[in-house]
Amino acid sequence: MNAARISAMLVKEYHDAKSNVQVLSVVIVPIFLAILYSRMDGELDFAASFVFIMAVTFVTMYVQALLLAEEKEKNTLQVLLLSPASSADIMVGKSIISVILTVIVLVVSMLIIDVNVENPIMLSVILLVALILFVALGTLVGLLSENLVQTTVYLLPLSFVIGFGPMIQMYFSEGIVGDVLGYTPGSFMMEACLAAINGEAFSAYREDIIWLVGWTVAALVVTFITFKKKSLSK
Amino acid sequence: MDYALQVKDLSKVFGQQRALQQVSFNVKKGEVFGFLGPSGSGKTTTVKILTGQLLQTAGEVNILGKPASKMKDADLGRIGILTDNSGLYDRMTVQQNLDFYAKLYKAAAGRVEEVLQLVGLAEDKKKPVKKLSKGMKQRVLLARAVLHKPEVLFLDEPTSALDPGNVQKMHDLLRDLNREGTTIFLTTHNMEEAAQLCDRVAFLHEGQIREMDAPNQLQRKYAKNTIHLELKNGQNETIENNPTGAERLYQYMQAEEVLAVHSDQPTLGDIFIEVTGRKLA
Ligand SMILES: Nc1ncnc2c1ncn2[C@@H]1O[C@H](COP(=O)(O)OP(=O)(O)O)[C@@H](O)[C@H]1O
Ligand SMILES: [Mg+2]
Repeated sequence: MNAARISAMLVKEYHDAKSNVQVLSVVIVPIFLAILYSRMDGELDFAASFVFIMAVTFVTMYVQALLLAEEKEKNTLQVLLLSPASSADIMVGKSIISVILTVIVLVVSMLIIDVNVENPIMLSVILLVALILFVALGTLVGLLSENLVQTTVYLLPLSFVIGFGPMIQMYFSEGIVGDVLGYTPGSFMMEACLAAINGEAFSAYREDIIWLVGWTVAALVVTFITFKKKSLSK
Repeated sequence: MDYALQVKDLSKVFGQQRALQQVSFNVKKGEVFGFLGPSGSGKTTTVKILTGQLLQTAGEVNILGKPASKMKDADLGRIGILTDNSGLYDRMTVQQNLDFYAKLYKAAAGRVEEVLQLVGLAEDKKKPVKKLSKGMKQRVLLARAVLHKPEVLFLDEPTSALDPGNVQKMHDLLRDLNREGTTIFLTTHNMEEAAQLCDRVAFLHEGQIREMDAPNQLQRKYAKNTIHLELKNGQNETIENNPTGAERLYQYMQAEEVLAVHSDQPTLGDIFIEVTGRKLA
């Protein structure tokens, strides 16, 4: 990897994203939700956890997938692959921009919701794992879609299940729907975030974290194999 | 001999379609090589294989002494490519685009300004790419391909979207680059362009090379053995380049009848038709 090339990628992504309406509109979603929740009198720990999940699905995953698919659609990815920049430079550069955007959204949402976090270190670890997971998922969607329209077709059901899964699960806690949703990454992330915010003992949510890490490793492996298969590596 | 490109018995099959058959040629370092053929003859397929974007079905392809399919990132920094599937970031300005690629390629400082001048886009550098005409975009693509003064430059139909004035500018740029040592592999269906720019040309037809030589050698080889006479009485006459023809010419000249004598040199386009039985473009 080459720091100068990665920083070139970052500057490029910044210039490109700042006038990208699609990117700007997904960034608004979690912040809008945060404002909404801060005005309602609900439980803040739940509101914050839900907004975190929205941030990683709508910002991290969407932005990552959109940026990658657009590079494919506009034939700029091919140009990058034919340049002396390595695949790692290109993918790391791309991932950093969606991570930076997410971190900004996370911080802003936290400030808006103003929830008291009992175990901030654990919460940071959970969010970091989630970031990696959703960068991988976004990359996977970007790799599998040939254009922007296709990206949206993949992302809508995916973000619905992952993002709103934990909410739906509350209403279908019994039966097969609830059981299946209970194994989605959003569900584990929800449990883990709630526990960290409330400062529960680690043993209470160890299993959720193990599942979350398992999802992350699986997503990374599948994304990596797809990357190789799509002959984007060189 | 130091070769930039070495291609031996190259074949490429897409399903049932044989896109290239037993194509062989070498391009010396510093040469401008033209790959001429009508649409569908296999030009783009050849460029893609030469630049490692596509794997050949059979044959050997070396670029700068290495198999094209084994090019590493560092090797890619030694070549420049302009193809019909090259894109730009259209929300970004011309300059932002070029600055980005200049950093990726570690081009010399000030080089972006230099190429902007060379392709005549210095005035338009602050415009977002999506606001540019097709010809201007093509010039940005060319600017990008030459930012790092590549050792080998691949151009796939580079002038097809340009107006004559800009074609001239682009030819000047390519000649300058070539003088500084860049080897150029150019595909085109424009015979005039090839005759002006190329040290050697290959005629590609249905995936096979039918003829290959320097343009003036080809003109010699396919020269017609006839001479055109334009006479003062308004008539034209074609005579053979032999004693009978000489006798005719002598008679006309004796009678002070000759207005002009024209050679009957074929253009590259004429030769292409003769070799392949098919018109270009
Ligand atoms: N990816 C592909 N799949 C199938 N056939 C292809 C593919 N690419 C090119 N061809 C075929 O190979 C032949 C040569 O195409 P191409 O190299 O694009 O020609 P040119 O660039 O000279 O117009 C054409 O008949 C074309 O249809
Ligand atoms: Mg072509």
